[in-house]
This record gives sequence, C-alpha cells and structure tokens, in this order.
Amino acid sequence: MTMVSNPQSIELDDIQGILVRGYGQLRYCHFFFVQVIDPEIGRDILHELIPKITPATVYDSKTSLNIAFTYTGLQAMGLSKENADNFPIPFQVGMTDNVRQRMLGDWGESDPENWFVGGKNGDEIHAMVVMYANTEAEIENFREEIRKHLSTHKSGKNAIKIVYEIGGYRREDGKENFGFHDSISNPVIKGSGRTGPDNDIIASGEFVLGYLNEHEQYPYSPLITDSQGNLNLLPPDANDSGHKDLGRNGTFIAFRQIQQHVDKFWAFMESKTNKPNGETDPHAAVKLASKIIGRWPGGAPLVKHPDQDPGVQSTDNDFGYAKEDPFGMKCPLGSHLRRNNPRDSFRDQNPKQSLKVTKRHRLIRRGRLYQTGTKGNEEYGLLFMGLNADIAQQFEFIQHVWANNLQPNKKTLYNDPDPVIGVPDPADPIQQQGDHNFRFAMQGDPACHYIEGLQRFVTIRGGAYLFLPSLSALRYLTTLGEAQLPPHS
Amino acid sequence: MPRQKAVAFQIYLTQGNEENAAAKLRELGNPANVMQPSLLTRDALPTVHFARFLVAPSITLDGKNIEASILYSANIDVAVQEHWNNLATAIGGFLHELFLLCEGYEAEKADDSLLIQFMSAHFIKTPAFYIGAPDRTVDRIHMEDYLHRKVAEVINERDNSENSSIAVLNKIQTWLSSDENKYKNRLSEESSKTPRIKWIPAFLTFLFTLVLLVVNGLIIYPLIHFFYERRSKPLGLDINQLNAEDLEKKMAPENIVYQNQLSQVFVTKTGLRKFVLWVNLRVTQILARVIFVKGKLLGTPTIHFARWVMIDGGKRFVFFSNFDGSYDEYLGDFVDNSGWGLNAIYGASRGYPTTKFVMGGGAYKIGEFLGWGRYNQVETQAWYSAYPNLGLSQIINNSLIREGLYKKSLSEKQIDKLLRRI
Repeated sequence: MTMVSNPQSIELDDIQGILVRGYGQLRYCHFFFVQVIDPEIGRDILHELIPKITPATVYDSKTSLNIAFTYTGLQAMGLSKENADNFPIPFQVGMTDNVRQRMLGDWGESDPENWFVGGKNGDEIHAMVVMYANTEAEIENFREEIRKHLSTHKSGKNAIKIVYEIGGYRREDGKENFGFHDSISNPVIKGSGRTGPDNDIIASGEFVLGYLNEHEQYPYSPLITDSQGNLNLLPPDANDSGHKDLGRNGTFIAFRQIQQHVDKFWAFMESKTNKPNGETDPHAAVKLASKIIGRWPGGAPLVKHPDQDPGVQSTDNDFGYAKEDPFGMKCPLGSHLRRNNPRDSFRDQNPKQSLKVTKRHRLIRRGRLYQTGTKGNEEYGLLFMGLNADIAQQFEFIQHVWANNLQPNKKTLYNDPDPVIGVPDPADPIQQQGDHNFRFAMQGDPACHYIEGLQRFVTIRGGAYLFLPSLSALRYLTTLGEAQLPPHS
Repeated sequence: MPRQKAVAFQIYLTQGNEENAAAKLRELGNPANVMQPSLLTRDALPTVHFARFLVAPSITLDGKNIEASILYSANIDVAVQEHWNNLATAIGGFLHELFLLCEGYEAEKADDSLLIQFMSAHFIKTPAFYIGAPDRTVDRIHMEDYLHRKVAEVINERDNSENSSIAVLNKIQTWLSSDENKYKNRLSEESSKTPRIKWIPAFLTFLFTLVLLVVNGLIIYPLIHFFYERRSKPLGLDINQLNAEDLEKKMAPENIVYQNQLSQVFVTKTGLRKFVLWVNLRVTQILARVIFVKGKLLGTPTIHFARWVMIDGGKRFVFFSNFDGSYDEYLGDFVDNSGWGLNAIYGASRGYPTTKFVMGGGAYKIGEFLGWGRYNQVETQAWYSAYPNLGLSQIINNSLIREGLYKKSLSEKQIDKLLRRI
C-alpha cells in the first residue's frame, strides 16, 4: 500500500469541520444536548451561532463548534413533517426504536430505558452541540460562551433547554480507557484534500451526502418536497429530481455514550492468563488484550508485530491481512479491529473483492474519553460519534452484522461476538437459546486456543441518530419561518 | 445420502378469510422468537430443515381478482408423501382448523388421511431450488455440530507438550475412539461425504449456459431491452421512501437469531419476459444441482435454502429463502458479488428497477433494489428452523472437519489445514 495524494474536490467550506477533522490538537470537548422550545427563537439562536461554526477548511482554529439535529429537532426548528419524512428511515425512527435496539444489541443495562441521554424515558433531544478547545480553561470559557448564546435571547424567553451535557477529552498519548491507541484507521474522504493509504481513501458519498459513493451512486439524501423557507440557499438534488437537496455536504452521526468497565476488562485478561501457580502474568494479560483488540496498546499492528509489543507509539495503518495473515495467526480473525474493518480479507474473497465490500461499510469515528462520578465511584467511557452517509449500511451494519454477529465473516468463528463491543447482555434474547459460552478464538500453530466465557465490558449509556447539516443547510433552517418566495430561476 | 427435497403447497382461502388465516398461522409462531413456543419443533418434525406457512395476499391484477392463498414450503429429508404423513401426525389438529378457512376442504374433524389427501392435491412444483449444504440430513447437521464442539473442547484442553499438529490430531483421535463419544458409532456409520463438483456434467452445463448466454445476449436480451424494459414501470422507491411503519412491521420478526427468512411475492411480467424467467429458473436449477454444491450461490455463502415457485398459474411467483445475517447483508452480498444474476431472474417481476440488456442496471441501483425487495416482501406468519444458531459456512466447515478426521491417512499439510478449520 502506498500513500497517495487526494486533491480537494468536495465543498469543504460548506461542510462542518467535524466530518473531515478529528481536532486532535484540541484536546478537550463538551457536548450539549438541547431541546428547542420555540421554533422562532431556536432559529434566531442558530442564526447567531452559524458564524461560530467551524467549516472543514479551517484547520488551525483555537476552538471548534459543530451542530447536529435529530428528526424531532428538525421539526422543532420548523421543518414540516413532509420534509422531515424525506430523511432516511433509521434517522426518523431513531436509535431507540425496537427494531434498531435489537440490531444494535442494546439490552439489559444498555437498554434505552436506562440511558442518561436520548433514551426512552429521558427528555427528548433535538440537537447536539459539540465544542472543542485546546485546554481545560479554554473549553470552559467556550462552553459558557455557547451556553450564554443558547439560553439568552433578546425576547427574554428561555427558548433552548440544555437537557444533558458532558465533557470529554483526548489523552495525550491518544489512548482510550482500556489503554489502547485509538482512532488510527479512520478512512480518508476522497476529495477532502488529505493524503492517505490508497486502500483507505473512500468515495466521498460514503460520508458526505450529495457525492458519489462506493456504488458509484448518490446516497439517499433528504429533499425538500414541501416548499418552505428560502430554497435559494439549497443546492439542487444531484439525481436531478428537480427538488432542493437539504442533505448535500451534510452527513449523519450515530452518537453513543459508551461506558467502559476498565477494571472488569483487565481482571478478565488477568484471570485468563494466570500462571499455573495462580500468579498473575501482566505481559500475558496485555498480549491477550492486544489480540482481542487487534493492535498493541501503543498502536502497533499485530500483523507486523505478532508476538511482542515493539513498545513504541504507532499510527501505522499501512497493512492488510490477505497476504500477511490469511488465517489469523497474527491478528485473530475475531479481534475487534479485524472484524469491524476486514480490509482486504473479507470471508474467503480475494483482496480486490474484499476491499470492494469493506469500502461500502466504513465509518468515520470521532471518539473522546469521559470520566464522570465521584471519587471511588468513577464512570469511564467513550463519547463515540460514527459519521456516515447511510446509517443502515454503515453504523448499523457494522454493529449488527460484524460486531454482534456470532459467526462473522469467517467460517471458523462459531460463537464469537466482538469481544469488546458485541458480547450480548444477559437480557439479550439470543442468551435464551444456543450456546451461551461466548468465546474468542485465537488462531495459532498448531491449533486454535479459545478464550471462554467472554464478558460484556461496555454499557451503552446514551445515544441518538443526528443529522449534521451543511453550513448552507443550517442557514436554510434559520429561514423556515419566512414567507415562501418563488425560487430564483 | 439422499439430497434434501423441496415441498410446497398452495391452497386458496375462501373469501374474507385472509386475516383469519394470517392470525391462525401466527399461532404456530416464529420459532426464532424465543419468547413464543411453537408447535413446529424438531421432536415433532425431525426430518424438516426449514418450513414456513404464510398467506399470499389477494390482489387485483389487470382488473381480475387473485384470491388470497396459504403457501406452505419446507426443505425435507424424506419423500414428499412421507412428509405429508409426518405433518399430519405432528400438527393435524392445527391443519384441520386452518383448512376450514380454505376452499374445497369439507372434513368435519381432523382426519390424517383426509389432510394428507388435501395437501397432496394442492402440491406445487418448485422449478428452481438451491441447497446450501446438499446431502446432509437434519440429524447429520446436528451430529457434526456436536462433533465440532467436542473437538474444539478437546483441543482447548491440550497441554504444553502437545504442541505439534500430529500430537493435537492424536489427542482428537483418542477422544474419537473413546466411549465418552456418544456419536461414535453413528458418525462412523453414516456417510461423511460432501458433494463435489463433477467435472464432466459441470463442463457440459458450462457449455450449455454459454451457448444460452450467447443466444440470449444476441437476440433475446436486446429484444427485451428495447421492447419490454423501455415500457416497464419500475417501483422507483428507495428503501428509505417506503412507509416507515410498514417497514418496521416487516423487520419486527427479524434479527432475533443469527438466521433470517425472506418471503417475497411478485407479479410476473408477461410475454418474452415470462419465458425468459422460465428458462432462467431452469438454468438456475441445473447450476444449483451441478455447480453450486459447495455452499455458495454466485459467491454468496450464507444461504441455507432458496427457491423460486410459480403460483396462481404463473401470474405470480415467489422467492423463499433461509439465510444467515441480516436482510441488508444478504441482498447487499448479492449485489456485491453478482447483481446480474438477480437481474436475470427478478427482472421478470413487475416494479423491478429498470435493467439494461437484462443483466445490467436493476439490482446495481442498490437503494432502489433494497426498496423493491422490501416492498414485495410479505409476512411469514410461521417459520421454523431446525438449527437456528448454525451458519451455513459453519455447517459446511463441520462436514469438512468430520471428513478430515475420518480419513485413513493425512499428510502433514492436510493435518494443518484440518486443524485450522477447528
């Protein structure tokens, strides 16, 4: 694989920055989940905020602001039901819908009934406001500035209610709470101007609405069929339907607040690697955890370093599995990384066909760590955002078909969920039949070794499907209260 | 080892009974739904791999009414007549109550011989039938699954001294010959053979298909392209443009276990299109018998059984499938691997995305194709699987493990390969 140039061809100045940038240099972030009480005032406030939103062309800002809406949120801003129903069905019904819940495996403790945000019993959320800044002090200032914007309106009315908020951060070493370097293999959007390995540059339409995807078609995008607002602000539908496209340069976000049970994770690794005399073996525990994840803690890929951690921080993403490790002897077939991005080794297909398939199911991940709770009672976790043009074919597909599936992709995996994010909760109906001894197969020479009795190391604490509009779509939303004007010819 | 058979019947409902029949069939349950116990069990029907009952809805077609009917289909290890006997014995009382809603059934009480006669009289042929794991009985599939589980346990218990392929194989062989192996005798008695591609018939089939493709490509498909497809009216709805509530209902019984089922009812296009469907189903049937015998249908390795059946005297046709994974994965797989194969058959259904020279276009418009598929999907009121937690690839792998273990001698390479399967 080689790094290739990727000249800019998408309209970065109309795209919210978070879609193209992870803001690695801005270590702190804060999320507001808000309700719009009065559409008119909501639109006024959005109008004020738009100049502060960071477009994808800006890469050196001190702060960054991005805003996304839910299905009910768009209607709370004044979008008509007919127009809102032009959005994709998963977005309309939301993450807590029964069918979606089952696909995602959110049962028991992870049931949306128990969520802190976006769940079945909590406050409905309309929008998610994501802020980034470089230091704790700066995020605090920025957060309060935005809070003031949201809660103060010239009318004196309290128009926007913050129903949930949470802060996040990035560790300097880039590791997540289990101790592994995260976010190394994010795909690169074709036309974004960023270089990347040629196999990882993915058609723009997989992530940005209004462009061709890996099927060489335009992804399904919400059109305006019920004339409202200033339609001149919106581009025409790329499929030439004659309608205006609310989606172009926007995308969808699957947000998940994922609690990580760090102690349980490491206790499990230790219990499975104890020496015969009962003593713990820290090296073996780290090795097992790395096999389960698919990289060493520092990020070095197992395919290149199968037996020992090279001990360096690595963002090496220049590898495949087909030639280097077809049988999973180095990076196990069921490891978290390999199953969720099988690269050039999907099922027993040849590398070209494998890449064709995997490129149709990728996700841009924007994860930040969080820590809540009081001393001695802390909760650690990940504020996860998966960005994709097609929730069903990307976020849901990966979670359902590749992570939760007990027999994913490879014929030698029989009862192997994703060991990190796919082990069923005891309340999952799948637990009521079949073999409950979920396991992790470590392929090896001369034979496989099974790690039995996998446990669930994560709990979903919140979630939502959101639409991240383009800047012009945001401007359009502010005009929804205007009288209808004939469109420019 | 006999090959699994396809059995099906279609029985028209008396007017006004469409909903009653659907409700009655729901009583049978969806055995994949662990919350709802079912009358269809492995104890009652030990020679059935998969079975389904559903109501094909009534429609008005070109001004004429097609009445609703009950469709039954099953994939079985025994002769059709024996299956009717088994079905009558297992759920005779239920069938009697169900058939009271149908035309032409007049029994006063459940009588096995009358039920069998009634089912036989409504038997319909299955012109194209694909078997993912041919020549395996339900019993064998379960036996080989047990074998795999045990062998996996055995190799996991090995100690550090057993660190060569031969040592591991010896450990397995010791267990195989031990008394604790409860399937020992049955495993060694029953055939462990898996079907192979027979090269002469395969070559002839290939030649035949090639000739057919040339004839079609030069004459028939251009005719269809210019005279039929240009006038056809595709449904033209992306999957996201379907009614969200309807879609929700269709998805409600899915993704409970690893396997899923799909039942679709299509209106058949007429004329040359119908003729091409007839030809292509027969070609599919031949290919399924001769070439696709190793677990993949046009590259898709997740289909246990699939069939295409003409109903209502050919005015409509159905597709029934039992597969692994989700609907999106299943149909997406086909599009990724061989969308042209889908076009060759489903292009004959009304509303299908417009094709180009029969093989192009169509399914390759993925959003529209998924929408068309869901639109034509009908509720499967009752569904049964004899091994709901087993994937097709795993069933095939289990057979190969068994075949390897019972081979008289294995080279070192073969041993390595065998151990990698476990």
